[in-house]
Amino acid sequence: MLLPPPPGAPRPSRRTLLRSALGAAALAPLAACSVPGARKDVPTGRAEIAAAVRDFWSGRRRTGKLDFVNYTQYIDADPADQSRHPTLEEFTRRTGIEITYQELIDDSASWFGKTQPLFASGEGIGHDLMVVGSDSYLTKYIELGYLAPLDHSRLPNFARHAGAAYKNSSFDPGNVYTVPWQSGMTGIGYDPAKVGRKITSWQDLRDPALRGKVGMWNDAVQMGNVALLAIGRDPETSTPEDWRRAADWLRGQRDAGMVRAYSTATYQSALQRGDLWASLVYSGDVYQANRSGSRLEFVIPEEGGLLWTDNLCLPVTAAGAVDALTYMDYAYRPEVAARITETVQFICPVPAARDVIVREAAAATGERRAALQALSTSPLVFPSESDQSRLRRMRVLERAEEKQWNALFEPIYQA
Amino acid sequence: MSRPPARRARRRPVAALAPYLMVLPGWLWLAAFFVAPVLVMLSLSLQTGDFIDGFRQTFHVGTYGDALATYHTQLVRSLLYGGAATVCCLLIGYPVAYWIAFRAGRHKSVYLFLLLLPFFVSFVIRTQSWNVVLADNGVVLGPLKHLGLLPGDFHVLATPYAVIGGLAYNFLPFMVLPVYVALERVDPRLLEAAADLYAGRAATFGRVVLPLSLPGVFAGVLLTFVPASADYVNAAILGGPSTTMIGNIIQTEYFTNLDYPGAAALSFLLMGTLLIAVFLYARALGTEDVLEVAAR
Amino acid sequence: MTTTATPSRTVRRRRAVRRGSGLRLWTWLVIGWLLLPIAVMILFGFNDTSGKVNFTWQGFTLTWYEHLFAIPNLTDALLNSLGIGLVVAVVATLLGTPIGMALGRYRFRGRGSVDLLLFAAIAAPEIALGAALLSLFIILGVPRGYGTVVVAHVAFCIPYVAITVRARMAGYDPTLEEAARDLGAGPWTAFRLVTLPMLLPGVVSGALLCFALSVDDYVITSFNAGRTVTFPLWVYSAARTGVPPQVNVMGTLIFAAGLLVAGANVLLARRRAG
Repeated sequence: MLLPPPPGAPRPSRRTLLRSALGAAALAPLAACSVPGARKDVPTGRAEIAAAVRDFWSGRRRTGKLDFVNYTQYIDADPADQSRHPTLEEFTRRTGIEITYQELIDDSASWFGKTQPLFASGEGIGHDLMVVGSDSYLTKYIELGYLAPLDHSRLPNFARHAGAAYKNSSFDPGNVYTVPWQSGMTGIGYDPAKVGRKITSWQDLRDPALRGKVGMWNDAVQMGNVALLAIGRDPETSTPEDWRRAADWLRGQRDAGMVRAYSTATYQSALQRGDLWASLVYSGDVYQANRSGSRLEFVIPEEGGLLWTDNLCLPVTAAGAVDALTYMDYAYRPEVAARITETVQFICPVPAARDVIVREAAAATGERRAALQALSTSPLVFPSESDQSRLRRMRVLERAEEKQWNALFEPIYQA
Repeated sequence: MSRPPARRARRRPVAALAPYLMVLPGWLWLAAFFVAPVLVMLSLSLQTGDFIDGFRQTFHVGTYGDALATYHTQLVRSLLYGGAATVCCLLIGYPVAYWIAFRAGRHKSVYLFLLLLPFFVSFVIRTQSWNVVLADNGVVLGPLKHLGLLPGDFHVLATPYAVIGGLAYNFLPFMVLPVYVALERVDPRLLEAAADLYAGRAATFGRVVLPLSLPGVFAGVLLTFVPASADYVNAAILGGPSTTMIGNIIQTEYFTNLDYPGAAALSFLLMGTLLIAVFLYARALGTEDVLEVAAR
Repeated sequence: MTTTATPSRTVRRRRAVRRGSGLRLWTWLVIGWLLLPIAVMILFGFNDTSGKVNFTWQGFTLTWYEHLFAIPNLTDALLNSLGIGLVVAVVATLLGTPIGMALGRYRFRGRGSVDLLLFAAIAAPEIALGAALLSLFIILGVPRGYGTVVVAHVAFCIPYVAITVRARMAGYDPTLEEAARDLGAGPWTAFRLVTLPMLLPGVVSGALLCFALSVDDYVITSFNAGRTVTFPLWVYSAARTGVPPQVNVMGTLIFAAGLLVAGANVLLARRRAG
């Protein structure tokens, strides 16, 4: 109607609001489609696993195509052209398998959140090979039956070259579903010029001299495990009582005004700018920062540092499973591992890669020689025996435990 | 302001249908891609279970109570930060919109374009940039500290002020645009008439311009307050130890804890709270008919 | 219209000299504030950084401009974003403008619920909406990608267009269009000659807003993009280890293109003004 309403016409809004609300309520049962349970029977025991491997791999053939999804900048890159990944190109040359390589994973939580519905619907994620951290999400992928069991008869290089510390871990005993991609440490990164002394212990993160200059993370898994180390417990054997004490330790640090921010998004830049003097860091962070001109130091505190591992695994829906397995084995060739390590600078799960780098350094000249030499002696990439002995693995949480864990540690950084 | 009476009513069936035909296509789109997903979400918020055993519809309203009991601090904080950012936007943005509408002459579109330019730079980069600009010893604070105008341990980042400032920065164009649109519509001859009637500058503004711009202000407040309160990026990048907003919680519940019902319930609580806040705001403006204010 | 406006314009201009300067300064300060982080972005596009981290100044270089398209994934992401933004702006404007007009102009049954719908669409937290849309697409068996991103973006853009246009319609005098009809104009002609020009600024700012919102959206896109990567998606995941300087350069070039468009607009307006 073109006629404007007479003044004082009934106002529809409140009634409409009520009506809409009622309408929505009436519709709700329609949409009350329950989210189906996702639990699968996961094989246990040697025989069952062997059967599952047979079931999965029988009749599978090479497709000549491989879709690989990874974290950002987590593979070798041609220094002149960052978009080219020489080891991937070489793989294609050797095997004829075309690779689609994408870096779509930001962190394991959001990647799980995005992929879980796709797995649950049976639709699959379209990738044949993905990298998953050794955290509770890996346990979920396994528990939910989203990962394919690996056929180790086709992974000779893994058997020959993988370091003992990277085989048979507590999060995947027997490497049934995963092989390590890169490992790293969580410890303390700090700017010696600002702090004015050496940091040696987790307790230094409660030193009043650093009040308001300490960076911690909004990540319950890392925070909880670190705090357990700080109170002198090995996370893998810790009890819920230990967790409570660890949370108290973090709360004490927080209430003393030590922490500037709980953020995984900003600690790197803040540390480099000097807004943070000391922070939780990954080992690779400090290397990267120093390459860009900072003078930070990384320390594995005397109470121990955390060792974590990112892993290669196959979604159960992978069409190119054989191709993916071929790549997995290829990645364990020492010369391939060496080249990836050269770019990403995390702990290499292939000890023999160090020999390759030493050989290459001897053959190289000038800057490249120096860089390779530094790499082969870097304690961040090839940690010494004594460093290794101070590294602890993260606690693998059962589902019920995880609730308890989160309820303890989340409120600290979510206040 | 009263509407001019319509001179002649053209009552034709087509005309009576006109508003429905105009609304229909967009309405259908929203029904399919907004209402339907929201119903899915509503249904989810009433389910119980976990993602491994599945979620089953039990009409468990208790989730809402639990969520509110656990996270009311963050909910209230979100409204406070969102409100503060909105007030900042209004105080900063209104004069800008006013100047562009009345004084920028034929360059109006240029200025509007300048205001929109930040959107072309990804918000992650923009927000991160503030970390560089406002660093404790950066280009702004460094010199001030050097001159002794600020104490050495003074910092803006990692405080509530940084979060509110970041929100205001990110949502300012949402305030300026609608206010500008409303002001631009004001007939300049009205201002001259007011001046001719010996109204002072203040009176002209208070009695003529401001009332005419209120619909734009209302729309601007809506467009600023709502997304600012629901934001989580600014708190994540610029915040400190106690600046967690409800958006951050929803993100954690959804992604990290995989508590879909909890996350959905929190989302509805947030929407509901915002709805109530906007109703109260409209009531304070002196109108009872909230959602039509902007249309008047 | 123009002839009657001429004398008043000179009056206004004289007054503007006296009163406008403070507000002009304020406007420029605000624009400066808005553009400051962009200045930082531009600066760091020239940063001679060697690592992945681009936070501290290392010296001047043009190398990132030379190697602008060295990261094909990033280039594709940028093109995706611009394309999606364009389609979204057009579709959302076509759908949202009539809603805004209807709300601004007619009183009809159900008007309140349309209002409520628009408000709720703006008030819904992006993360919940993104997740809910994903569930819906999965239930319907729609593969995610370019199309679903467009669909999702259009859905959250419609209310913004509608509200902007409605604000423009407020106080619209329906007698103007009727007068045109009385003078023999058909409904379409009356719309084109009377209503549309009055509405155009609202429609244009609505469309601009859509484009900007779409190009900038991260949260909803991240749920519904499938394997399509947009610019914010790429940048966000790169931010974990450090945003490469090419991102700064692309931001700078988009910004420069914007300035060019604005500059051309000024020149055009000048020429038209004679």
